[in-house]
Amino acid sequence: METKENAADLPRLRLRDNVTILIAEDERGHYLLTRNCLRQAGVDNEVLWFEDGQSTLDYLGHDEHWQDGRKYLLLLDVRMPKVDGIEVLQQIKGDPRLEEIAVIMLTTSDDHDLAHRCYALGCEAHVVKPPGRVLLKAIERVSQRL
Amino acid sequence: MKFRWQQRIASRLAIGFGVVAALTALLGMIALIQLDSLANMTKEMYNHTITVSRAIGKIRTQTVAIHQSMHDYVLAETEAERQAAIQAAAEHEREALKAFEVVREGFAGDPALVEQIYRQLIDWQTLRQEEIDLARQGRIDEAAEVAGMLGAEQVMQIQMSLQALHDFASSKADAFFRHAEQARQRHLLLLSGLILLVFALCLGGGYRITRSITEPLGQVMATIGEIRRGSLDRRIGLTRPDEIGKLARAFDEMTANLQATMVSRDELGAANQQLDAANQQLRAANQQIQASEQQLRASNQQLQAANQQLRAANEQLEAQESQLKGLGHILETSLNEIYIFDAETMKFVQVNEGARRNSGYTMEELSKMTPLDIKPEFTARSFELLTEPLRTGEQAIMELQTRHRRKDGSLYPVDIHLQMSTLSGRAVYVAIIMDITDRRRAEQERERLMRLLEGKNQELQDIIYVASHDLKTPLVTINGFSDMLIAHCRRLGELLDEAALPVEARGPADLLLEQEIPEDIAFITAGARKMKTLLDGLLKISRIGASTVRPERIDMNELIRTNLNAAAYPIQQKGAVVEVADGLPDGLGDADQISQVFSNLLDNALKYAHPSRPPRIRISGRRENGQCIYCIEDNGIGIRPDYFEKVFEIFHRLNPKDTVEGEGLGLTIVRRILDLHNGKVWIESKPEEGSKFLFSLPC
Repeated sequence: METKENAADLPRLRLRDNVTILIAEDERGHYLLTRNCLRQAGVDNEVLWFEDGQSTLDYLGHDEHWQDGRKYLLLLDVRMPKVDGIEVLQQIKGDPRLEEIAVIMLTTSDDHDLAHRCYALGCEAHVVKPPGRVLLKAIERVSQRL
Repeated sequence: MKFRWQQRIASRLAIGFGVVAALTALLGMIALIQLDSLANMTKEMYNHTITVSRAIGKIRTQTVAIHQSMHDYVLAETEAERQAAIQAAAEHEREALKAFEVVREGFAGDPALVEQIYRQLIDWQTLRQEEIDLARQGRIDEAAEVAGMLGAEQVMQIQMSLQALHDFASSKADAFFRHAEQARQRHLLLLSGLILLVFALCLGGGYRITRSITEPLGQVMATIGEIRRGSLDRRIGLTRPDEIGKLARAFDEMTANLQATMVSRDELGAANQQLDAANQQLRAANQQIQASEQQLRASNQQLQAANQQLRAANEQLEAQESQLKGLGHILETSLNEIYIFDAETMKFVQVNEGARRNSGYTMEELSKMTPLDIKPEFTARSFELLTEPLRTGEQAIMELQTRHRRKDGSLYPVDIHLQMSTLSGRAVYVAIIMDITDRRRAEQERERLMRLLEGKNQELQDIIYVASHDLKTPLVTINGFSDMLIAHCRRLGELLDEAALPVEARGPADLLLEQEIPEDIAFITAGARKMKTLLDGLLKISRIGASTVRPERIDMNELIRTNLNAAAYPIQQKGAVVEVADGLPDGLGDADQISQVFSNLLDNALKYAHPSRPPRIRISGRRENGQCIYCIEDNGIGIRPDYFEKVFEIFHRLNPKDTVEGEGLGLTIVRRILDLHNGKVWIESKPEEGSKFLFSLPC
């Protein structure tokens, strides 16, 4: 396991105000940990939680969620009931309207094959849980182009 | 000089040797006589020179002594002295006379001279008596004068006579020496002459005797030689009375006899030649007989051989017959179905029991049927096409699989071996048929099981994959919230500080917040960490599947180099020396997975280094029996033989409580990878000395 990360050690992170962070995660605990990690890094952007892939896609399908230049950063868990993370990623990157959403895959597994698949499907980053410094670095890098 | 020997050879030799002996004896006698005369002369010389000379010397001395005694007498003053002097003189005189007797006896010279001395001695006696008388009368001076003058004169004369005597003796000795020398030379001459004479006599005699024997013998020999050369009319003709004469006469007689017989010998020779010719004819006839006998024997042998061949052929035939009978029986009772059908009519000619039983037809029924009646999958045309290569001789035998129909209409799968042959002069097909219903069933069953196994395997992999994935989710939660809990406790502490609780309440609260709760959380996170390790391992194993193996030729030297570069840091940290043998053979395998194998084995070698020495690692490889064998050898702590298998078990670690880090999967993965490569991994090791990990790959 990674070294313990105290809040004080985490890098400070600032995202543009028009960025909404979506967390697709069936495990509430993991959602809380992720959100906590963001908060501790000083991220005060809007954070939305979806318990499965389908609800995520549903939310993104609504036109009203795309007004006044809203940008989305999706932290997407791979293993989820019903529609899993891979499928969500496929649909987003296969949809011209959604493809500019920055997707960071979150997974418990360091399975390289899986990571390759995700990158091949167009994800911006692939991060192994628990959420921490690596995730924050990934967000920082990915948010540059938002 | 012609000399006729009348004596026999023996007498002649005896006379010769007798003469030599007599001459030798004569010579010896002469020598003896000469020796004796020499001895006499020596004795003579001895008498003169020694005995006589010594006596003469003695007389001389005594004479002087007498004279001295007389002198003493005349000058003596007392009567006693006079008496003593007279006695001494008398004594000396006796001695002189004694010596004189010796001279008289031994002297070889003139006796008159000896007698003259004797007279002189006697005269002196008279003179001395006169002196004594004068002295007794007191006429000492007169006596002294007589003694002094006459006595001295007398002594002088005696001395001179003695000298003459002595001189004579000496001259006598000289003469002897001269005489002896002359005698020696004379004797020498005489003896030499004699020896020469004897020698000449012996030589002459010997020659004569030898000649007397060899001459007639030579004559005899010459004549014999001539006779031997064929002159049978030659005769020796010696009339001598001795042995040679006798021999010659006897020989002449024999020659005459021989001459007489020679005439008949020629006749005999002719007869002999005739005999020889007859003999040769006989021999030729004999050879002819022998030759024809050999021919007879040879033809006899040929007959015997032919007989044996016939018998052998007969036996072979019998054996073949019995074999055929046996074979026929075997074929008849074979469980395989055997059908023989005519190549033209296609009707079954012969069918074995197995075929009748399985098909359900009797022979009678079958004799009216063709193969097409039991092979529903063929038409006359397709069967003809099928058997074409057999008819043209293109193929000797063919194999096919089809289905046969029994009398009851049921079908069964068959494996057919078909070939052409002849039976009683007719071309036939022979079909050996195997009912492969059971085999088919077994194959199908095997395939079903294989599919099942594959499914199970996949299922298992999926389960492992999913399980490890899903099990990780709560782990993340546990870890995450443990961290949160720590953060919250810290926050609680701060709040308690601000609240300024009473001291008695602060103590237990601090203990809880700063010691007990962090300890509890540490246990939780340690457990979670362990669990994560196990899950990672399971995942790793589950990912190594047969489907991921992509075998290719691997440049092992390159692969090892890459691996060592990647491990440069731990190698340096451990102070390890890694040696790679030249020219590792290239194995067949999945480069990534084999790299993993090397990496794991290298890790182990570094990890289980001996605490008292820096690691030394040697990597080598060789080809053996069509396989590539690689070896990673270390000088680490080694492995006990009873652990050689255990170390490959999943999650096994040599020292679970040890400081050595790891998930206990390295060797399990190595074995799994090699299993998938049809390879092998094994250990050779001695505890405290080091280990060798060897693995094989297809080459």
